[in-house]
Amino acid sequence: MTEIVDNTRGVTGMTNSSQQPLLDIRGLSVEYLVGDKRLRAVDQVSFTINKGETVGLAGESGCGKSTLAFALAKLHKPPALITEGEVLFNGQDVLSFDDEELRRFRWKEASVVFQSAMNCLNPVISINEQISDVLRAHHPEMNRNEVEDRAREMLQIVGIHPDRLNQYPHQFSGGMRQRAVLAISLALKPQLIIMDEPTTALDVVVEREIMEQLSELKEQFGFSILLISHDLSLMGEITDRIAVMYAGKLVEIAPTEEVLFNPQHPYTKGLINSFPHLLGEKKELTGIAGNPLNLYSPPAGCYFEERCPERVNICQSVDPASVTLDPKHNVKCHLFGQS
Amino acid sequence: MSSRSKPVFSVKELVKDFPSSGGANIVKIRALNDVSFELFPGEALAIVGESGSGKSTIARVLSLLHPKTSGELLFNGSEISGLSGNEIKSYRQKVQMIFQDPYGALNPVHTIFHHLARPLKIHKKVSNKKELTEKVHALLEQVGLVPAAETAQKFPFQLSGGQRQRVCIAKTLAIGADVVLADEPTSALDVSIRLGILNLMEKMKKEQNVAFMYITHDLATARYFAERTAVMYVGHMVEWGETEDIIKEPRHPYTQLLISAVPDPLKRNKKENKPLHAKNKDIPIWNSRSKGCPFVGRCGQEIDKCTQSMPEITKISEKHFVRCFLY
Repeated sequence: MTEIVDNTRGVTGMTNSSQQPLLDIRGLSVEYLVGDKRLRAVDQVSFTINKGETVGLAGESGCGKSTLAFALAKLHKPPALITEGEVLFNGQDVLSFDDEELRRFRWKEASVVFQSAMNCLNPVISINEQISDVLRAHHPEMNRNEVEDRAREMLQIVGIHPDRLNQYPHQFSGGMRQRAVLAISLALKPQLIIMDEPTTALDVVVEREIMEQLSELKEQFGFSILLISHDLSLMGEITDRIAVMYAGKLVEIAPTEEVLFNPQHPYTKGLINSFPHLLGEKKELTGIAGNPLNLYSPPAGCYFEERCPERVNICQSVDPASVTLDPKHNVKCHLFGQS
Repeated sequence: MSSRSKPVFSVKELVKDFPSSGGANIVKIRALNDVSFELFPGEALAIVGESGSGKSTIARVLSLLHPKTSGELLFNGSEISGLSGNEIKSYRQKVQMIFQDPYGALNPVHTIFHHLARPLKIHKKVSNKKELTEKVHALLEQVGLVPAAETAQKFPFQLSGGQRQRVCIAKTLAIGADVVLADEPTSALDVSIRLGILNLMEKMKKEQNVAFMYITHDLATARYFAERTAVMYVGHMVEWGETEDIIKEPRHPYTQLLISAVPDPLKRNKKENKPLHAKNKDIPIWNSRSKGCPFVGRCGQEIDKCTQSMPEITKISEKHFVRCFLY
């Protein structure tokens, strides 16, 4: 898959380094107002997604992955508040868009598939209506037949027989509903799809089918994907790079192979060591001791210090800066501070 | 080890029907059909399968939450259906369940102390208050919830999901269960917490010789925790044996499909490991009149007799069995 991505880069005549990223997140912070306190759910997160790239965002529940996804499309609602940072999409700051610009941006440029997306469908409206709705909103010039033809085509693309177009969500299985949501998210050929735990509620066989479908569609249309999940096994198979979050901070980002087989941050190591493998050697796993951080009272130093098996003195008092190990590998940890 | 000791549970040809809506003459949904297995002390048997395959129904029938329709349910050699009230009480002392959702399994208005003291009192495990407190604290320490005295005074909402699941496990320890039916005990928990729970159950298995029935859809954790695995499909047990054999050499086409679908980073770049595709995606609904192999619609290798009757059990090796006409 990586090779194909490289091909598309070759076609557009851009080399890896000079290429402008599709999405450039710079120092993004999102806070929740809780009572008179501010709870920082996303803390100074920066990373980029290139054209045609699949980036995975991993972390435990409550680490801010979904909050980040919402903020990227400016879909967050109070009490969430973006306090810092920029989200540049093709060089334009999404966060400065007004309502009309946002309306054009969402779905046409970037679409979002939410967790338990299969429950996002309106139970009393046919699948046809729900796909057409997107098309009509963004392409008012299309006539009825064109809209229906396009809706049929979309269903076919995601592997549902077009004859089922006029059925209702309850007549679809969980996997088919998820495919239907995928069809809606692809209807306007967006450049970026943000997927928040897209297959968590599905059985493995169905999950595999949908993920394969997605890879095929990606090769066909060349969009980028931000895949948010806690499941590193799944990410390991389909992503190009993985970003790992802990307690709102991005602790490590690197190409998938590096993260999986050569993790540097102690949290990433712990996370990798929490997944029993289906293949390979069977060994005792330890997981990560302790419990996720309570963001109500964040410590002064590194947020992972409390649970970290490799902590040193400085960890308790100073929050580490992000260190570049090699051009594609960043780690936020004191163990790499000196170099 | 397990082959020498006697099984705690011996289930033979278990059938469980559920009435479907629409009156008495309607054909019943068959949730379990002809399921047989044995469970040994100090051993974990993983039951894996998709949602709706009847995994949880097995646990519910074994814990007497649902009556069986037919078949034999032997616990330490004697039939468990039709027990009297007192007998059920002593049976439940030996067979406990851990549920998927630790958030729903504890009463939000009672302290952790209450949750652990109750089974101890009901089953008369302690004689006075001092002993009760000591026992509760010892249990909390055993499952790694320290400081115990402090945890005992907390309410469920003050604990994280993993901690709550530990309380549920402490409950099964409280009355000294011989068998724990664990229904997806880790799927609601965070990945970093999951391992802690699995390792705790592993400890119970090794040190207290507890038998576990580990119901899961996650084959990787089944491999980590369970010595033996049984694969369910639409209420039928299609393949069972030692977990390593099942994963390395799956024989039944459904098991092969399931294993090829599990994501694993080690599968990356191995394109020849192209997952098998299910021919027809619809999973049948089984009822008492259905016949044949339930997988026939999705199987790529079906032969004529597959639609006629369910294949008999074929022995692949000493401990590996499959129900498929291909063998």
